[in-house]
Amino acid sequence: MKIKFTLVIFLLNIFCSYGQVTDTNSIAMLLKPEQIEAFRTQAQKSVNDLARYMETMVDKSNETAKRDKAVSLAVKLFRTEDNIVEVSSVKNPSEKKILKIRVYFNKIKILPYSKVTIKWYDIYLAPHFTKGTDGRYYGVATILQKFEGKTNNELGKYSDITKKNIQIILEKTEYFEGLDKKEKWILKLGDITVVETRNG
Amino acid sequence: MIEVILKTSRNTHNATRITGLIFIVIGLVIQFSPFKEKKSDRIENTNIINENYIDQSVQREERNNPSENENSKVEIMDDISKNERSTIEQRNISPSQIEAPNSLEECFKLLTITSIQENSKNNLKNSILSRFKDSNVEVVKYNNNIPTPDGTTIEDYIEAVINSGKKIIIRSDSEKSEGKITKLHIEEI
Repeated sequence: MKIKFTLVIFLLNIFCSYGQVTDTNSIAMLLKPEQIEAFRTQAQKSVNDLARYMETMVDKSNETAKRDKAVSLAVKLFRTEDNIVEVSSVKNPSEKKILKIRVYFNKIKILPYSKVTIKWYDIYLAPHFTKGTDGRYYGVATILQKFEGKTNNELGKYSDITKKNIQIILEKTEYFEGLDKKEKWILKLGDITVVETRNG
Repeated sequence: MIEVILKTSRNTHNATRITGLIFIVIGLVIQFSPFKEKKSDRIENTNIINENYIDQSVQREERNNPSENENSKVEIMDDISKNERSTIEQRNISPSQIEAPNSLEECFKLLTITSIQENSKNNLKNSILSRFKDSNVEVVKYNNNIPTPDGTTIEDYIEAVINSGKKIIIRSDSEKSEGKITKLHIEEI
């Protein structure tokens, strides 16, 4: 009986200490619920912006300067140029290539199709941000991407639908306003990974 | 003509003389009459004619441009909403010769009009940038009245507005120093 009681106390102790760890890891300790909601809204807008820039950069009817500008604007939505995009195809769905964001954007800009369209739909934003080992907070937006490439020759047309996860990063940064040191949260996009690819 | 009337009036009856004088008075009244077209009215009419001419020439330009098909014409008409068109018309300028308005929000609005030419957009861009401390001034985006910055600078944001046609509201709590904006607070619609 005594052993059972000790065991229960021990388990309760572990449970409580786990709770404390999760609390300090929760962004809710640092931001109010309305702030988290506002950042989620902004994340949705950033994902929509990225979708729009990608539509612009692949559309060959746009001027080159406009398409190049769309690439640099898209890159600036990300936390760093080292962020990556996973790429897959229906022919080899298990084989995923990894490209840095700028390389990926420049690649889709010059795909050997006469007409390329990329549309994102069913954008879903997960409600929580979790703390990463680097101290930043990570959320995720899931999108469905419909890719369509048409050629004028016998190759015809290629299309697929890919489910992708886009990292949403909330990072606290310090800055100076005069002599005062202040902090602010900044929202950026992170890595884009493939969940699954199927025929479009 | 006055002399003739006077000569006649000397040789005729008093009543005729009075009639002559009445003619003179009428003549003078007509000469300096308030019923005459005012100068400002003339200028207004000229402006109306100019606006019509500009509208017609823009339409002619759109018709004559071989690169624009029917769809792009519709797109232009859609892009320039009635309010935006009236803004352009009130200023008596064509979409190819845009002058930067005083209102920053109006400048951003003009940047989203696709029919405005590249060089005019560059002028607008320079005019917007001249109101900021430098091109790296931060643009803070607000959602539900809460700041949600994403690290965008004003220079990049201008390009983003041109590229995506975003509609924005500039918040009155944007920060200024020595007449220049040091932090721009905006809401995207």
